[in-house]
Amino acid sequence: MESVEIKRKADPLIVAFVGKLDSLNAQEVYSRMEEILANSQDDLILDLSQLDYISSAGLQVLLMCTKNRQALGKKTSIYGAKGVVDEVLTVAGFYSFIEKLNGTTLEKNIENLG
Amino acid sequence: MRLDLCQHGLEDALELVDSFTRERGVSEDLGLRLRLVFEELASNVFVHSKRAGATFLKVCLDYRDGKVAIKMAYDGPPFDPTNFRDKRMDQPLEKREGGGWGLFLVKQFAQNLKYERKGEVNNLIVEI
Repeated sequence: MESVEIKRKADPLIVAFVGKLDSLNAQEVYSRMEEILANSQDDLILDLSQLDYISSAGLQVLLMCTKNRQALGKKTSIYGAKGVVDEVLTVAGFYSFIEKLNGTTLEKNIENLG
Repeated sequence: MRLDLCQHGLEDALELVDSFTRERGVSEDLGLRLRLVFEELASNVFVHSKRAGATFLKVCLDYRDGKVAIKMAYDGPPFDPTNFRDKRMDQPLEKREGGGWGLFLVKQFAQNLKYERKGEVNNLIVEI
């Protein structure tokens, strides 16, 4: 499935969403993320640098991921959201709930997480 | 274009928008905003209105002077999205179980949203 790519398996877990996250694929992505998260006890970074589009269906996936990590006492962060994706996350209030990583590269952000 | 809700799905409706964006040379940013507003409105028709008895969705798209206009008409019971507020939006994100962002995003990204009921048909005009 092109929509979900595991970039790093642990410490933290980094998953990239690619392309679009919308009503047509949100359920499939949701199921895939449930599988991935079931095998992880780590903080999660969602790499959205290759995500061009997100709708309300996609926001539900992000919310699920965050609550899943919260239940384990772990953190979720977002990296690389841009354009309309960043704007959607901003107006929907997601950055009050999920940390937005501001480092220039994902590697820099991982270093900063310590 | 008229979509029969029993024969077509949301995917067909979104393909209509994607084709329009490509063929008319709509900018990428505006095209994504158009897709977002349309997806949120159309998914309500395909899910909620259809469940309540709606049978068709008519869509007309227009692009001029750097703006896109969407005209949508659908049957079924009256539903005015300009007056609807999902109560889930009153809950903080940490406590929210479901979504509720659909029409909220429409109102954030659309410059104009007008609704009118004519006979048995719901009519929406949206400018982006």
